[in-house]
Amino acid sequence: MRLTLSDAADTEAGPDELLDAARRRGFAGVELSRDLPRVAADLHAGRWTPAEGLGVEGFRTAEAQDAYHPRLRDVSSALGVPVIVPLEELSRHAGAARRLAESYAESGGRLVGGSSDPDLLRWVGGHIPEMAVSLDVIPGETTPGDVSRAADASGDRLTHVRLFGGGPEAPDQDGTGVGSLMSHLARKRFRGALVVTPSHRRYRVAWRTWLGRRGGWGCGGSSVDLPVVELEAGG
Amino acid sequence: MSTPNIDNTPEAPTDAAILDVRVIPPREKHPAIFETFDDLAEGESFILVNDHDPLPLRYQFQFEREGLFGWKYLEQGPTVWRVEISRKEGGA
Repeated sequence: MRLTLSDAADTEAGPDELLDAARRRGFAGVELSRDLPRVAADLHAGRWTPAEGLGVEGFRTAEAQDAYHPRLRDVSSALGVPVIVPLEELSRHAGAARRLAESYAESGGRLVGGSSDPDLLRWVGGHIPEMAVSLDVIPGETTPGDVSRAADASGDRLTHVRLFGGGPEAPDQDGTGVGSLMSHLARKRFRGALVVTPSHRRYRVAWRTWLGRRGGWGCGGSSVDLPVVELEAGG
Repeated sequence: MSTPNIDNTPEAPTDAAILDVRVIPPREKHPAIFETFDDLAEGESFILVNDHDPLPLRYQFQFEREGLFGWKYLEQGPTVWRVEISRKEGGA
């Protein structure tokens, strides 16, 4: 299992800053979602490079159609970085989705469908076998049964799990069952990327502050973190 | 793109479950760890990943699961600690 930081955790940071923050906090990799064709091309051209010991675990697109960008597919093929797309949108056009997944596979790239619905992840196995899947875990909503069903239905094709929270939000998520969800995930021998991302924009200042500090994750860790404080109203 | 693989260090069993407790809220950490341990069959193990030395947890294991568990450090900081916790065969 590779603990991975989503770039949604700091929307003002460039790739290098994000990688520095990830290293400080002990992450194994990052997941990128902003300005993907340009960022992917820069990565491919070596204009920025992950530090030793860190990997790019995925390019996550906001819309399924973004995965058709030829540069994204080419970079996925060249570097082996999976492209993760919203599955709800893609599943409405199963034939097109399958052709897209096949084109990635034929070029050596990888396409991953993401959803919080374990039944939709299971649907992928029957309709788009070339596609891997990513489960969205929402504390307080996702159940241990959802995790087990997604893992059982997908097996090794479950390559990503995206957790909404963790980081500076962890103390606020007490009682939402994250511990049991992670235990179920472990017991299903999940070995892919566990991507943590803010659950809401209102936490953006807390995340940015947390990433800027060196040390443990708090919560009895090697350093003491302040509790989450909403410094911006609304958002 | 090469990615680091923390699962395949020479000492780590390649088929062991991995529980990264860094993302778990404080009061849910130890229950999740014991939930994972109690699900192990005899002779199985899981790898605990944490941001500090989980020594207090080891003391809790000694109290709660005396004679039933093994404890082996795979990595000891400074940023990440990994411990293989195993369920002994024929434990008391």
